Amino acid sequence: MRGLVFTEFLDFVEGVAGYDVVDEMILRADPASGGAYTSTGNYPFTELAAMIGALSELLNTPAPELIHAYGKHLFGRFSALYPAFFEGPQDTFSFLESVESIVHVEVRKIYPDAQPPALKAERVGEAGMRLEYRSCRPLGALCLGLIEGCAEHFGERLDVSHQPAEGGLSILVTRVQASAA
Amino acid sequence: MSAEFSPTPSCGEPVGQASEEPPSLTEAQRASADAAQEALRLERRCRRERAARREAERLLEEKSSALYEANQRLATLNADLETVVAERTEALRDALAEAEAAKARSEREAMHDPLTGLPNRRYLRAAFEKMTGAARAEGKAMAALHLDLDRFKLINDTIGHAAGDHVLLHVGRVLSESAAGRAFVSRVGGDEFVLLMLFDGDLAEVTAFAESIVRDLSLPIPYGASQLRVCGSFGVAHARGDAINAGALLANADRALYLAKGRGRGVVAHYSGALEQAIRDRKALGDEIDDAIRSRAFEPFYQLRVDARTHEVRSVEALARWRHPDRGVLGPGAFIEIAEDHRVIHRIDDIILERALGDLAAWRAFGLDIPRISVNVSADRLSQSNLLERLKALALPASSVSFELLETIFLEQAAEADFQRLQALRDLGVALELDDFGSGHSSILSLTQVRPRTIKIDRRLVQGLGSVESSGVMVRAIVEIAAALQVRVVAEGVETGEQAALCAALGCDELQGFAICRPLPASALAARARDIQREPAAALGLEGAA
Repeated sequence: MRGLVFTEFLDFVEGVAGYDVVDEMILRADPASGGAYTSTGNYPFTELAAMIGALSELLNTPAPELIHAYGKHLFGRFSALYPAFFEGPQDTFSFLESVESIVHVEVRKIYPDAQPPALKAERVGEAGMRLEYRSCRPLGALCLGLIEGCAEHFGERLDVSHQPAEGGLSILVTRVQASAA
Repeated sequence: MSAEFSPTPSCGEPVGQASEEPPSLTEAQRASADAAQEALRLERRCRRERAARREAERLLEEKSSALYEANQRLATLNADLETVVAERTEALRDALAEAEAAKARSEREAMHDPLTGLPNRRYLRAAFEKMTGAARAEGKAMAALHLDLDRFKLINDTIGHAAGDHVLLHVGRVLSESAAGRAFVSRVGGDEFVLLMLFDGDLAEVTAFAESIVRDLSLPIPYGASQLRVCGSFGVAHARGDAINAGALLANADRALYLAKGRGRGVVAHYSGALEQAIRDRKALGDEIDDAIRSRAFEPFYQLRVDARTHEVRSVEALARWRHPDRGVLGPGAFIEIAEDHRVIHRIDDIILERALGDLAAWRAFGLDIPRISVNVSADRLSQSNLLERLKALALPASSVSFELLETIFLEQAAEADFQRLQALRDLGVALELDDFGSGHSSILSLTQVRPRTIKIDRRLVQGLGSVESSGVMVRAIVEIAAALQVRVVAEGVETGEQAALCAALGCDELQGFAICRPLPASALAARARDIQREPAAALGLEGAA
């Protein structure tokens, strides 16, 4: 898994809980890399899973909730780190459409060994979009957090519902009118 | 689901601290333990960050190596590409050079005559423009000299195209050498060349230049074992300043050439207003001749030939006359040259032959004994491909027709095919006669080539008899040669009884001339023939002389 996901995760945890929690989490998870991550490196997903598990115990918070919150944080970091991907899309739906066709294509060019998830987007009526998320990793919550971060980025309110699907999630996103808010 | 993540520790106590502390520790001890704990955390953090940095450096190094290798591969690829580009550029340069050369070749071909290598008509136009500018700038006059070869067609038709090409190459060389530095030379048609020259205004300079070329062209051209002869005529036009105009100058030179051709061979004619009129007259006359041929206004007049000793009628010569609606009966001098020019002379020959045969049949039907009739045959007629078929169709009376060959030119350059044609005529029963014998420079040779039945001694030799000493000697020599070759001899142009007597004494077989009979129309001839047949000496007034 991309090192960036790890370094951002540690930054996220440190940001919200302090380095003491980061340190304790690493000690408990005891990852093979010793908790030393670099954004351009590549690390086993199991290390992240172990750290999330340890954090969940430490903070007494369900892991999906943690992952969801991290996803939202991560989107903000993406928009800061990779502004080029945000030059075209003007709203959440168009950005989500570009994830599979543009973002992941570029990621594979830079990291030929990368295994980004699949995110098939399909518009449903005027204000809806169905997303089929498929990944080799159980990170559906991360995906949901990223979608939420995306909506926040474009200043839109979305109603997100999902149900499990083979190898991932089937997600329905609906734009919520400002007046209804 | 969207609830904000709140980092509340599960135990509600500071992370990493034991949930239960020994109550025995003092504040100072606790602070010291916290500090030690904090120091350990910092140490671990430092270790992790150092490890992360080393990892990052290793990755960086790895990326650098990969980049270096990629760069090396790119450099190799670049070098390969440069080689390919260089090769293609080289190939392209070669192709471009080839294309340039081809362009230059085709431009040259477009501007030059392929046979002689001389500039062609297109080049002439370009050169004209350039020279016009030079003439105006230098205040000079410009002359266009249009050369047409005389007798070229004859060589081409009778000896062959190879000989024709040989002549053209020779003429091209003569012109180039003569004109070097003085004039522009171009070949504008089969046997036509146009020269352009600038001159100070003295037309004599241009005339002298053209005449020197005419002289050079008249020299024999070696061709294999034999020699070819051509000559050329020039039509010259000139203009000065703003009056120089390509179309007009070239057209005027062409008109002058037309007139030059009409005046004979090897002529240099200059364009002028009078010339324009002469050309119009010739053109009009040409048209009239065409009309006359269509309306069969040409008819034979006849002159009797008699035996030199017995004065019996031996033959009649058919002479072409033109019964002109306004100008009366015209002799050959009025039309032969233009008819030759218009290449219609063979049609006149044809009309005369046909009508003469009709007259002969009529005379014989009325019991008049005319043993033989002779007609003049031009080289043009002789070279007509349908001549033999035409003669066969006419069903010539046996042993009664002679062809008088006028053109010694033809005989000088005749090829084997021509002699075969003469033989074919003999096979048809046509006797051959050589006209104007003694006037051409190769007459003796023609005796063996043509093997005529009869020769007709040129009137100038006959008329010299009695006054010019050498005439008698020459007539006697001709008679002796003819006798040796078993060729009959006719004395032409016999105008007096004395000449008739001398010719008879020198051994001529037959006499022809005003002393015997003036040219007469068919209707008048019969009467004259009967007179002579009845009482030859009296009718001819030759008693005294005989």
